[in-house]
Amino acid sequence: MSGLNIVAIAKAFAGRPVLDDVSLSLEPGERLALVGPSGCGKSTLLRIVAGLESPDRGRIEIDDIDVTDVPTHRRGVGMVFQDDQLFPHLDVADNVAFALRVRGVGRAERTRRVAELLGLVGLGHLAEAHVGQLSGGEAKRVALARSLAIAPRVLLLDEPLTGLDRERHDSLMTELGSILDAMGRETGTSVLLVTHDPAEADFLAGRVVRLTDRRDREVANPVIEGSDEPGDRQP
Amino acid sequence: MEAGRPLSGRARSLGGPAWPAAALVTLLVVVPMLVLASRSVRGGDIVEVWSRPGVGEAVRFSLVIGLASTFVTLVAAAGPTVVIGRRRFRGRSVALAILTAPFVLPTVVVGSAFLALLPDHLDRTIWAVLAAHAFFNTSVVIRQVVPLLESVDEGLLEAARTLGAGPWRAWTSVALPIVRPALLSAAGLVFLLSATSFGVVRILGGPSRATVDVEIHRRAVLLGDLSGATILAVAQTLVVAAVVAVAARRRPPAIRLARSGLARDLPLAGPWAHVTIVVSIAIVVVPLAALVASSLRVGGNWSIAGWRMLLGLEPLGGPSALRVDVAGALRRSLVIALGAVLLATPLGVGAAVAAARDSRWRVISMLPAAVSAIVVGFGIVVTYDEGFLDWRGSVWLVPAVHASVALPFVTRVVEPLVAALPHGPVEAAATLGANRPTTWRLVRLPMLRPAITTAAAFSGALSLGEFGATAFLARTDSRTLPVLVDLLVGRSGERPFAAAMAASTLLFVITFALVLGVERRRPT
Repeated sequence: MSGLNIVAIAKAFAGRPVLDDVSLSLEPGERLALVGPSGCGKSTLLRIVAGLESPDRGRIEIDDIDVTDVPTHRRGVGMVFQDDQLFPHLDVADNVAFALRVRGVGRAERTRRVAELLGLVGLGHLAEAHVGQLSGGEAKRVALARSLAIAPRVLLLDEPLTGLDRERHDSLMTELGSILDAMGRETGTSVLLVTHDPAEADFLAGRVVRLTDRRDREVANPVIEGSDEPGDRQP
Repeated sequence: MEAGRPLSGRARSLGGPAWPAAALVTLLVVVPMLVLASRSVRGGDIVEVWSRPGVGEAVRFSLVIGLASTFVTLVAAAGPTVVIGRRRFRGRSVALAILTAPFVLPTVVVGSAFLALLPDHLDRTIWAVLAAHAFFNTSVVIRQVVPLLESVDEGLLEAARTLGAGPWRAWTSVALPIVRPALLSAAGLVFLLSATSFGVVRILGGPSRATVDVEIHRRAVLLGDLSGATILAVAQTLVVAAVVAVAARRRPPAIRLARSGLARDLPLAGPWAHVTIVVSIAIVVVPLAALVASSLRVGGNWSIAGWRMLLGLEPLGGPSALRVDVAGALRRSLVIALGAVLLATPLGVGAAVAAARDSRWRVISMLPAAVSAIVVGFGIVVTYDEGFLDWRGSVWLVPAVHASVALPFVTRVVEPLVAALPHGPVEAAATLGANRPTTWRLVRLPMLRPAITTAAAFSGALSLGEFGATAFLARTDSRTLPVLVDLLVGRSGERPFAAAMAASTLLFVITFALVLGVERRRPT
């Protein structure tokens, strides 16, 4: 099937298994949330899908193509990092334009796309701001806009709302849900979300998968808690 | 813990603790510079001096050697800087300490080491000077760039890769722009250090090559052309000051990095990284090993005669008119270094405290760094030369000059720690009945001790190796070890050369031990 296939992934660090035989499939446009206790390997799985870590065993397929050995920059995935990782030497617009620039997109088209993306996340007025001046919520929106610039086939969100106060968390969660809805309709991007917050997982994803801690069980196979059809659950 | 609040409101405008440092700098740098400036105007030779033989060549050579040394240094430093800044490996802190230590080696030691290492046909060539400058200044680049490079979060490079940048593109579009300010600042510093090089060029450049600094010394001491030396000294100081001022104005705002000191999070080094580090360490160690070996050879045979001459156990020999007191120079250097440390450390700490309150005070203590040591020495000789102001033979003059040369370093090391001193313990001490002096003695100074120890050790190392100013100030009966090394390597014969190599080896061992000692104690 097209979309994202995670097939029998295993990963150990310094001899300690973190992921063991983990398999998941996401259809195009589907949103899946991975939940579980810290240290259970959620973020590691995300990094393996992004190509930032290599699995010890198993494979990653995107749109039926095995990308396990494809370097990160050629995988066509977008990622929002837990701590945003905005480039401190660039302003907001240049952060968002980064992927377009890397792909050689011309200045006029870049400017148009950046305006569109910043409009999408409601930050058009901060295009020239320095990233050090942004609030936590604004930084996360910029990180999201930046990851969407190349219309990725798979979008990876690593604790995208962590570190915000409750009020900002809730408002940004609603906004993120709307953005992902719009994106899903337009591009068919599959979204894999990692969070420790079950409410956030329920709200943002159509399907929730709990990853158990390898230290508690013999095998860290995921336990599927919800199995709604993609698109059934509206944020 | 709260940190960084001004230490006191009332003293802000007065800069009390900085006054002793300000007095020293005024006396030994500002006044001599003003005297030189007034004499250069009175001299009336401002235009004509540039056509005197050797002056144009010295200016051209300074520019050429400055640019070429900067290029060679950046190329040589690139590998070890990237590996140490971006990779984690066993022995990383030791490698960093070894690779950054040459920065404090006396210039005459570096000159002697390359004299010992290079085959005769390369001695006293521009290649020898270039190699020595690269050896010396690679540590400047590593010192300046590695701290910023290692604070570049690996996550930023990963983010760039998820956005489509390959490893090289991620490096050039993310890491390089972040470290660019440090890289440009290091390149500027290497250029200035190389273009104003004195000790290395004196020993390795041969008689036909002179930087402006060497030419100032040559005109003042050998040719008696004081007006020419004065005009060159003033012109060089103005150019250096202008370059420093432009660099300071153009410096972009510091990039705020999310985290710092991430060495432990860096990726493990691969085989090429290990090869780079081993080769870089070899480049540091081999010339110094050649220096040590040369100190143990006389006339093609192994001998400790050089060391015996250094320790006063054996005479240097030669015509009586040319005899020099090697052991006396060693004793003198150690005493002068002690005096410089005892003067520079408290004065520098005072200046750092004032600068932490009000950054304008930093200018005073940093002033000696903007004037070449040669010009400082020349200015003092010209200024304090008559009547009760004839200080040229005073025993305190050389330690005081060395202290003024070390002052910028002490202030620079201590000030950040003063600015970051937490107020909690100070306020707690006050509630427990401690007055201001007691609080300083029992709370603040102990918290500043690591920085003060580092500053004192580096002051000692700087004093032991100081050559530029001392070359002007030392008389026949008051030569320091670096001055003596310069004298001895210029003489023919195996014995003076062996004594010079032994003296250089001893200087190298003491300065290396001082620097490695404090670097190992510094928290990572």
